[in-house]
Amino acid sequence: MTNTPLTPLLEAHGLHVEVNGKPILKGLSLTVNAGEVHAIMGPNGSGKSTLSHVVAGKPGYTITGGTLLYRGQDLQALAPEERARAGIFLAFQYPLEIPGVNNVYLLKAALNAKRKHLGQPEVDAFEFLQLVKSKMQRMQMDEAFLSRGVNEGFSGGEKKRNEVLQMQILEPTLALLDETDSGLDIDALKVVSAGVNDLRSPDRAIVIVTHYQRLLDYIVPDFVHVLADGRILLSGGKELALELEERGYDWVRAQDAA
Amino acid sequence: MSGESLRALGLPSGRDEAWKYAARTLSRRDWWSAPADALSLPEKAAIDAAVLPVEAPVLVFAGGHAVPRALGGFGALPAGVSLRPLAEEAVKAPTGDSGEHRVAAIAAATTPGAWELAVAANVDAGSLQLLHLPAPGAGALVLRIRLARGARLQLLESLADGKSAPLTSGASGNIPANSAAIIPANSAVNAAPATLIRWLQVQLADGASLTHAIVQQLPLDAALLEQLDISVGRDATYLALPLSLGAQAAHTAAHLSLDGPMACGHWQQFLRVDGNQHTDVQLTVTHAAANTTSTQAVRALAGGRSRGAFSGKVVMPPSAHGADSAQSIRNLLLSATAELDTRPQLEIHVDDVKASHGSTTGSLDQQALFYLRSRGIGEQEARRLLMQAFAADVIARLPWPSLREWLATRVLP
Repeated sequence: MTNTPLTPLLEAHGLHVEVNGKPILKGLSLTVNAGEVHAIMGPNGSGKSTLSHVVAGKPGYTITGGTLLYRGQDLQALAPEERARAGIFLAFQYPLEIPGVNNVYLLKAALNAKRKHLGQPEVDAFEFLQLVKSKMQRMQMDEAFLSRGVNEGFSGGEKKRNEVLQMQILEPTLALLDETDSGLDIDALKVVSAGVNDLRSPDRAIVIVTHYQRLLDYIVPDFVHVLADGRILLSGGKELALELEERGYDWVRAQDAA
Repeated sequence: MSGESLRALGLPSGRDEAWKYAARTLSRRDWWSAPADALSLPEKAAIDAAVLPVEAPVLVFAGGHAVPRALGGFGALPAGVSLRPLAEEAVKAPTGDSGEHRVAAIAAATTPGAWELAVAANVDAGSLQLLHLPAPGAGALVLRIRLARGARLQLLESLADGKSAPLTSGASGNIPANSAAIIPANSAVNAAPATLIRWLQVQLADGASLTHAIVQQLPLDAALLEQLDISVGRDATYLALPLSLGAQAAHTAAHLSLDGPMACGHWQQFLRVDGNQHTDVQLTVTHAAANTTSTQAVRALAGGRSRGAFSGKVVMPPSAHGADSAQSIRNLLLSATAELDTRPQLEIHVDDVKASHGSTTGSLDQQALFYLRSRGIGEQEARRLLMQAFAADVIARLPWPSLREWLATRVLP
């Protein structure tokens, strides 16, 4: 058996984060390597969303201790847009409706911002539209999407599909999915999961933040972590998710206290 | 009232309800000068630069004067459309010294002569552009816009910079009856901050339809006084799309009266102020007849130390049975020192009507800003996109795609 060297994409060491002066993450440590899919599970209020937001650079999320690195670089030095151009993508739990900003315009501007960062020329308008259309088909999205404002009048399920569509087009190196399964019926869940699975690759990492095990039936993780009270209390393989489903989060807390 | 007695009267003070939110700097300007015997008209280059990118004939006014065709003033008018001087007695200034009609009174006293733009019955006149340029000594514009029964018009008014380089040749042309002699532009006179005063009477006969866009992009040291008195007949539709972008100080008094049953009147305004600009709009919508409909939507954006004010009064007298009115005002403050004042007022004297209003004031949505940035859009660009989206509510209603595109980047501070 050969050992392929691991490339860490995301490293959190003893990370402390405050939101509006309130400590949420309290010494979280986590390493995500290229090629891996991690699931972060945990009860409500444990800090799951805070982790994804702080990685994406949401204003108001202050790192008060520890380090947070992306490809070895301190993330604190980077504005949200710089993180995005460098390959970080956050699929929002509640994607925003922005009437008046066209969906396709946003997609194209986002892709061109990334290409510029990589020293590549702007994408050809015709080729781009073809790309969007093929990805939309993959995500089973209506063509009407093309002319609408960002998430304008979309149902919850359509918004989540749109998040994954953006992800498919931007091809991030590190994708964070924040409760992407919430509000999805089973058919939409399958479509969204397939869209995420398309992106699995040896040079990309995916971090799935979820409350429920259900999504992990479709996007099978390499690692499962339990986040509670601002720290990772337990890590394991995909079977840990099933055990959590059966025994509940209190079981992890009890184990941690013991 | 003569110009001199009006001058003595001055502009109403802030104690006058209709002028409470008006810029005090307006009263420092001279609005009462009689039109000069000779005036310097804007040069063709200035006219060309101010014409908005819309496929439509253009008529040019310098203050109260129509600029002759030879100077680039007149395009060919569409069939069924006429422009003619009105007899002096046809211009009746509203009586009394009410602040609500003060602009009309000053305009009537200082105009070189009134004009009438008319569209004949059942003519669909397509699009027409009126360009209004301030010019020293040009007096006030008094213009009646009359659409006969069943007539339709998409009217685009552009209020823009009339300053020009000194004339290099003595251009002259066919001067309309009440135009003054033209003298070469005098740069010293031209250097004074521009003022524009206009009084529009809009009359829509039964079943007529007017889309009335007003793009106000006067220079940032200019001042504007305008009054619009609009009467909408039975089954007629009036849609105002004012975009207020320029001028240091601007005051608009608009009286929209739905005079025939089933008349519709819509006022959809985008207002942007920045720096030390101060713009106030006083709109009164009167549902004089039964089953009339009105909407008022205002999107206001203020930065710097600017001030903007919108007062929207809806009056439903006992004759307004079945009337329906909806008002929506959204204010966006881009700086801590900017101010936007909103005054919705309802005066309802009848039972079976609907009247709603909503008003919000806030700053750019931080969540939306983060969403865009998280997709790689830079902060400045993200802010620009959100402001553009804010303006889009009004801009999207303009019936000229080329103008929508042209405005998209120009409506922002």
